[in-house]
Amino acid sequence: MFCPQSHGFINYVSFYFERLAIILFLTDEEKRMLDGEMGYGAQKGMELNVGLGEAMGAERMVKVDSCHLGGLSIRSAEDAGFDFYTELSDRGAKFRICTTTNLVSGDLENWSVLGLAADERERQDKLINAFDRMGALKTITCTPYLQGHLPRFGQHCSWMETSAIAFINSILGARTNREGGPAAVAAGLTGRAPEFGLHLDDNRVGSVLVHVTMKKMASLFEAGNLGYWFGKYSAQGNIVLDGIDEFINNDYMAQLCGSAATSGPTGIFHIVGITPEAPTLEVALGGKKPVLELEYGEKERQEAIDYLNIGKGDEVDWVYMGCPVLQLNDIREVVVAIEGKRVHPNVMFWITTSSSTKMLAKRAGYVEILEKAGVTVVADTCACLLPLAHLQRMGKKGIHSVVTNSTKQAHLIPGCCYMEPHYGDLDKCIEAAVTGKWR
Amino acid sequence: MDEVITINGKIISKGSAKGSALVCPVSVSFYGGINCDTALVTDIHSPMYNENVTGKIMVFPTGKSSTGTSWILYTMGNRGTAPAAIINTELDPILVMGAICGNVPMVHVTEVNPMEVISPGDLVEINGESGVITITKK
Repeated sequence: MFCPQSHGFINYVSFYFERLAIILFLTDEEKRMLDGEMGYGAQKGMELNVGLGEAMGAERMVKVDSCHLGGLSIRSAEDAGFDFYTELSDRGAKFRICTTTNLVSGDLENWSVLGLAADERERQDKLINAFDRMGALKTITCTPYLQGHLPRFGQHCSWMETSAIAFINSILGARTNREGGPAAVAAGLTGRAPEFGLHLDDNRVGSVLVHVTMKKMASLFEAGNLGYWFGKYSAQGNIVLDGIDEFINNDYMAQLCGSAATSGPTGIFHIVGITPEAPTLEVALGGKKPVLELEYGEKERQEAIDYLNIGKGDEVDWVYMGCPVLQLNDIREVVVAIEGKRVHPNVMFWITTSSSTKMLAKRAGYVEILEKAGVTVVADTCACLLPLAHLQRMGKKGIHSVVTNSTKQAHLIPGCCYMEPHYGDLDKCIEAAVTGKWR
Repeated sequence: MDEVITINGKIISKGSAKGSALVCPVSVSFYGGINCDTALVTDIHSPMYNENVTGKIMVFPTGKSSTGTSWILYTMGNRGTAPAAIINTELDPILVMGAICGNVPMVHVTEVNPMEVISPGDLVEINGESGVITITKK
């Protein structure tokens, strides 16, 4: 059964069918998909597209040729996602466009180190296999735009994943809405997405202006603080950052994007003089006055840090870095910071990355240096995707306290892992790893 | 006599609903924010921390954070732990998709600020045909 218990889409679509002709225009090919002439997958995908399109007031579909899916992890898919994907793949559904995949609950090359229980492992394998059979590419990364799936300016896409959506809209100028699982799957199965929101010019201009007076922004930690602070205002309008005059590399931008979309519904933001839809302040604001003007300085930075840095006591069980997954240069920075030092025996130190980046880090000799220092380089997963029970099995006596420099993870750990994290920059995290104490 | 207020909304995910209001002035993430088995709010930063959302009419501005939210809300709909309905002032497609799939009624309200009109514990009734929301003050 496609929709357990409820047959939601069928009811939903038939509810709207009478109005379909006037409100949502479908091409002949799209109608054939909806009628089931182009296979089960295309039909289900088009039903979802129509349901979402009607709800959001779309007038037609837009062709998309790039899709990135989450829900590959058993933890994020939950039962609904698991049933949805396995049902689709069992019935022969195939993706029609380039479709890449997010992180999973485990390291594919290193299951034993992570100690996933046998039933969890089996369930995770089954889910990965479902994606495989549908023709998804097993990129298994939350930053596909840095691992070979790079959309172009103006390209219509349908993407999941917080940092990825904000990055391809804001930094690249591609176009995707903040897609939930079923919506991105629908796009992958049909090559179409309902045209609303960030597919349309008018919805991409900024209206909330943030004057950035804080300097020295070029690090993962600082980019994360900035993003987390302004993200909460993005429900009031797209953010425009003005005043950033130093170079922030794409790896830091990934952190900025992930953080901005964590504290608020950030789909797009602009940086005047840096991002492609903001050559000038006037263009970024669409020639209008901002609805809200704010400043990001030392005080606001400290606010963001204090909000996330809520750990109690000084014991450190786990040092965690990599959300979004670390890129090659991020790993190089960890290597530089820890080389010649040794992780405290009571501390488990993880950095997480994609398997392709890990391969390059191996070639560079980074993995060897890190492992010698006592750091575990984990691929394919992140802290919030590990089944909760597993955290209690890890380390010497279970994991009860965590230190991180990853902003999104600092936000999610309390809700996902039931711990209150210590949050600080790379140097503070390294010190905590080496001494076993948070100071 | 109880004070009764009516406001108009647009039905985004269909269905009528009735329940006690749970009001949150800031955006909500279901992924990492609400446990889909216990229905308790696990986001320590949320003003709703530790509240149970099952059967409640949730009133908050919009969604935020992880795109995994669709699956959580969909799963809650299947398991019977979902809120009775959601009232938002801005539409986050991630939340909308989860509500449609999980058969959780959702209404979009723009004519007033529902977070000001509706107080926690008010009895809220949503007409799934007209989008009219009837609020009986506590």
